[in-house]
Amino acid sequence: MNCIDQETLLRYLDGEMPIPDRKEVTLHLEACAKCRAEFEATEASRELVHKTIASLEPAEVTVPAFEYKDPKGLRRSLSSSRHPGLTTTILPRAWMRPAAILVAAALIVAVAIPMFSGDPITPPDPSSETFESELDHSNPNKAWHQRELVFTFRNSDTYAVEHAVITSTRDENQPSGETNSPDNRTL
Amino acid sequence: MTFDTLYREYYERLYRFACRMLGTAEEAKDTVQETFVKLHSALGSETRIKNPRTWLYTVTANLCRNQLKRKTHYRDVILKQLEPTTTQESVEADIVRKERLARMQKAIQSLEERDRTLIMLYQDRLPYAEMAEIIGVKPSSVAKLLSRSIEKLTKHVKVEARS
Repeated sequence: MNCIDQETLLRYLDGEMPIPDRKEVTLHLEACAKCRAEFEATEASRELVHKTIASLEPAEVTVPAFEYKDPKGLRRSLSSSRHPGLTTTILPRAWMRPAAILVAAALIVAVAIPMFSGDPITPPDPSSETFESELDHSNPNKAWHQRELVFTFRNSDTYAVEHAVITSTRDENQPSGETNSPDNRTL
Repeated sequence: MTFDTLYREYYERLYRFACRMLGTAEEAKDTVQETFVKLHSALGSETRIKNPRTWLYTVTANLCRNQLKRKTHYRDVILKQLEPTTTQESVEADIVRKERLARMQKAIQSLEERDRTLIMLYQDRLPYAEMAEIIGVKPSSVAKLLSRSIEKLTKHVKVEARS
């Protein structure tokens, strides 16, 4: 192989070369002192350019919420991440992803266990005439437990963050497995 | 990929790219915001985007180019004060290093627009094929253009150092 020009050395350094060509260049560099010197000079120049350009950048970047106007002309805001205004730095972040996944999993388990344990939950029929009396907490024979779950989700059409509340009540005095009204949980 | 995912994944990269190109944080922020507004419209109109990364960089580069054309000359970049890399580094060595970086920054400003854009894209380690598409050249030309720019920049720095 003839001596290598700077263009080829650059493609070699940037991994922009097919493997057979790369192997050929590696073998030549091992054998040719002149090309090895040229390789080191190219590598040093490349690093100097990268370092200089890095000095043109800010050290920290805060990703702002994205604002836009929907087709109706209304201003809407989109959180760019789960944590608006999250500041990112140039420090390594490899440890953050597994930690975030573990925290999310723990939260899901903490919410799911009470939801799925115990007897089936059936809310009272709100149209029932006895509805209000059933919710009378002063009646010691009726012990109502009300659970409220708030779901936060993103509307896929508008990208806006919305909330939905699911309320369920349970009469502790009711035998397990029996229901007196169909499950009418709505979102 | 959804808009939200693209926004979170590429905002920082595009912002840094725009800072390098334009030299000011405020203009970079506006440019990147405009890029994502265009993306939002494109996705809303069901435009097919083959490669989101290339699309985003192309739009940002074009917006930066337009912004720079509006100025009478390329604005001087305020040089960042660089901290010494080690505590043992002598004051003289630190000054020499900073001066060399300052000369390099000045040399980058002297490049032609296309070559300067390419050098700025090179910083993000994009594949040659993508960089070629963004600046509108053949992929086989990228290595040659980069090599020429790096050589020019290095020579400029050495000449300035001697003078």
